[in-house]
Amino acid sequence: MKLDKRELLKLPLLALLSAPPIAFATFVFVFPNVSTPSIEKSLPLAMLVGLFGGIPSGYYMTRTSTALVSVIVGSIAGYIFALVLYSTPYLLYDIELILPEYYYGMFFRFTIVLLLIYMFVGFVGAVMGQLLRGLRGGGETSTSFEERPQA
Amino acid sequence: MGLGKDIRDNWLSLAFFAAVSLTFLAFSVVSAYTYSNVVQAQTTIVLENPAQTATLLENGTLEVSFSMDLNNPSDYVLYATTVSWYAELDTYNGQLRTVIVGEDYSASGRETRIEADSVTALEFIDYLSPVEDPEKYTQLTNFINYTAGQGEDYTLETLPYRHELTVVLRIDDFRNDFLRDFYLNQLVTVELYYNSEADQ
Repeated sequence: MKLDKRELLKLPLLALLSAPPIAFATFVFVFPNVSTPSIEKSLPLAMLVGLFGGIPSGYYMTRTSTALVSVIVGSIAGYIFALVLYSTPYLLYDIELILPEYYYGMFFRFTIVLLLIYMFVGFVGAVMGQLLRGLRGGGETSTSFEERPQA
Repeated sequence: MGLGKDIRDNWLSLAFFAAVSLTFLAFSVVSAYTYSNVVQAQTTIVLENPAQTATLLENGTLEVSFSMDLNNPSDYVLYATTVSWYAELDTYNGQLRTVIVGEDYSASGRETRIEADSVTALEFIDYLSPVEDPEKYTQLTNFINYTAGQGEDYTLETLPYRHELTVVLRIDDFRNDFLRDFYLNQLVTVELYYNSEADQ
């Protein structure tokens, strides 16, 4: 099966679109009291964000496989962005990070499950996105199939 | 044809998703900036310029005082939830005993507001009277007599009192009442400790 160039271009764009919500949800999960807006640690919220991240992939991608890859790439990009947000005090200011293994270990311990949730719920979102596209387009009925050359 | 056509066909939904994404991006940047400022405040808020005196008043009462500046260069208002000061002396007169000659303690009930970008002087004073605290007073004079035998020449005013100051501050109005996630309370709490012996 040959991959369409257009699909390949959409993949990083959609991944970038879904990365900021995932990054914010992850950051809030680690530091809910200094985040803006200040919200509680909430698994349903993280799942909602994961779902939101998956819907555009399913909606705009014509192939399910690339939509799922887009969800995985978007989740990983968001997670890496969250890690950058987590590191900002030590990137922006000249503050010495004592016990970096412990500091980053704490981040992974708190959030690694979230990454899996984003992916899993993102897959569901991608399927929902495809259903939405189907509803909008009226579905692939016999009238919308392209004419196939006669054998 | 191509990606441009797809964008033109779906511009409304794409604009919606992009707007939501940008909103979350703004939330993320502001949150990370706040977090960075809180961490920086943790490292820049310090106790400095300790000053201690011990004066013998005319009625024989020992006046012990201690002051220290709390420097808050951060942009956050601080609330002192606990301030405790102890002036002590480790005496040895056959057995080791710590005599508290001065103390002051205030808990969260008396919150002190410390303005952003300010230096606040914390001042403490206490008295040790030979009439009201004869036992402590005697321990000090016994220690002076004991050390005189060791070749030291102490008086009540020159005894090597140890001053300990502990200040617990809450940064701004960030939530700090988490029961399980203590690290969140610690993130917005500054604990400062000064010990005059360690400082020497």
